[in-house]
Amino acid sequence: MAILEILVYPDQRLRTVAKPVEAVDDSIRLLVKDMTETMYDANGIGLAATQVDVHKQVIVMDLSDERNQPRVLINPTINEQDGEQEHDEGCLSVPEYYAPVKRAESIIITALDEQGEIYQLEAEGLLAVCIQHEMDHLAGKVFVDYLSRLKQDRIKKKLVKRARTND
Amino acid sequence: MAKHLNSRAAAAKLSWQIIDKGQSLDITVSSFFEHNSYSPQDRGFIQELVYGVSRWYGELDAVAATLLRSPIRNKDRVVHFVLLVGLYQLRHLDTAEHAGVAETVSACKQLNKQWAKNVINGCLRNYLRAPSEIAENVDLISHPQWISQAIGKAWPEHLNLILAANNQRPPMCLRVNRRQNTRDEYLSVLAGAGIDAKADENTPDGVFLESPCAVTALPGFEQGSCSVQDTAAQISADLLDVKNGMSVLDACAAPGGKTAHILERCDNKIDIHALDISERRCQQLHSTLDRLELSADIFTADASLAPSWPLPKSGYDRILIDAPCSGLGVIRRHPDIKHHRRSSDIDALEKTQAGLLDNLWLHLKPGGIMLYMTCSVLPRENQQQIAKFIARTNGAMLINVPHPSALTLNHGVQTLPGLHDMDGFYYCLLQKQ
Repeated sequence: MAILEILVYPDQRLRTVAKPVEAVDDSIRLLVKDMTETMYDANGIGLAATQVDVHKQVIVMDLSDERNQPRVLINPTINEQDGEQEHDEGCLSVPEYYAPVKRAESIIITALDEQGEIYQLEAEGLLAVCIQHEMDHLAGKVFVDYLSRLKQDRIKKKLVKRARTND
Repeated sequence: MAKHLNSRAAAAKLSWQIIDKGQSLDITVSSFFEHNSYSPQDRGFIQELVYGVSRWYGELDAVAATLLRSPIRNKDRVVHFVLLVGLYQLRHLDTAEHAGVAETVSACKQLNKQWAKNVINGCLRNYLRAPSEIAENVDLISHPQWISQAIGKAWPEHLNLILAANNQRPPMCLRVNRRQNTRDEYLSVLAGAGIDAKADENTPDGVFLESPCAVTALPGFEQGSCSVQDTAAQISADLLDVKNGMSVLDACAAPGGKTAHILERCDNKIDIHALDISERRCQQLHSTLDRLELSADIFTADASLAPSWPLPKSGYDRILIDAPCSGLGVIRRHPDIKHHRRSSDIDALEKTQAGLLDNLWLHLKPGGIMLYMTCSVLPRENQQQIAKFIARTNGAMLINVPHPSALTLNHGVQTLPGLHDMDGFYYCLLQKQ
């Protein structure tokens, strides 16, 4: 197992659209393990493969306080969505920045688990927010895209500057 | 997706918005929790920190000043509040020292103020090295000067008691809905749910909880078994003495606690007009009554102006004016009053109160009774206001206020936090001859 490097906004690789996984095999299961470890290490509740520069439709999540209820979503699709909610979102690729984003209140999705079995999930509240946030990553989108141009520029500048000073 | 802000970072951000930016504590905290899902424990802790910093701001700010080599720049003020949150834990909570410091320091990172980690760490560790030395000569009263002076002028012999009580965490008080269960029945329901509670001697429907809890944890709350209301507010229903068949006006009714209490007493069988000046607050009034399955005629109206709502033909038997006021009697429940209220507000409030009295008096039946009350401890809003009203109004007569424990004044009665086991309220009963 290994802790992977998380890409930081505005890295252009975050704009890559992920491809569906063709077969859930051991290499995918290893990716899931590494991603889960990386997510825990970074104190995240969700991580998309895009964020670790692997452009396959793989998401890991864990919303529990105890950090012992990991979920895996491979090739997820949203079948139904309803309502609206606004939640302060933060992102491991946009460190230390939180802003409210409007999302569907409840969604029904279909995905594969790490054995390649198909399952359906009805989600609402934070779970629904997190799934939509991570699925955006697979489509090359970041939550910052929903904010005003002014805010986007400000965040960009700050993160670029910080990357430079950390080098 | 990243985890949300840790409790300290969240509390610092909220305190900064409330104290520096002038936002209301209630609204800021509740909208934050609407947009962020924290566990009930985290919510409770964040609230404790936010209320604590608001209560003890004067003291914490003075201690912070002795620790900081130079003040935090205005654009980084949130960092100042991180320090206050840290100091509040060390001075007023029994959080383990090292956990408290470490979590507070990491709040800087979460708030995107990485550079401040060393500053905060240094300040908190210096404080821990010699807490008593540093704490000397700081403002331990934690009230703006104009407030402590105004209270001292009004109640010199009770000043210290009042100020100390204003800084205490108030007990959580419930009003049992007697249409659904007796107080004894509800006490045993609470006991069954593992919630420690006792009857409030001052009121027939009141219950004190041993320690506060979320309303969602109260058995039957959604179904209307009980409401949250301080003893001092509950007493108004006893004083107003409404009987079936009477026409009643509650002139400044939102969020609706007193309207609901009067209706519960009369088994929802009287006609009550409930007014509030704010549309948004009228919505709260609706939801309060809906939850308790009560009904009133609700109008959005300014009760100090010519009536824009339909009056009963021969006037009202009872009028309740819970007047807009400085709120200086409920600082323990709303510590942000210390930061938001200005001494210059009192003039305007006095005028509004006088306008309400004069205007509504016209719509009181001969023989009818008006209850004027405030949650203030300032004579200008209370007994002096009423003395002036009586002097300029023919046929306005003071009658005895049968309050169980309040101080009797020449005009009306007063409770004081600290002296009485309730909020600081003023009540006066006036009868029309």
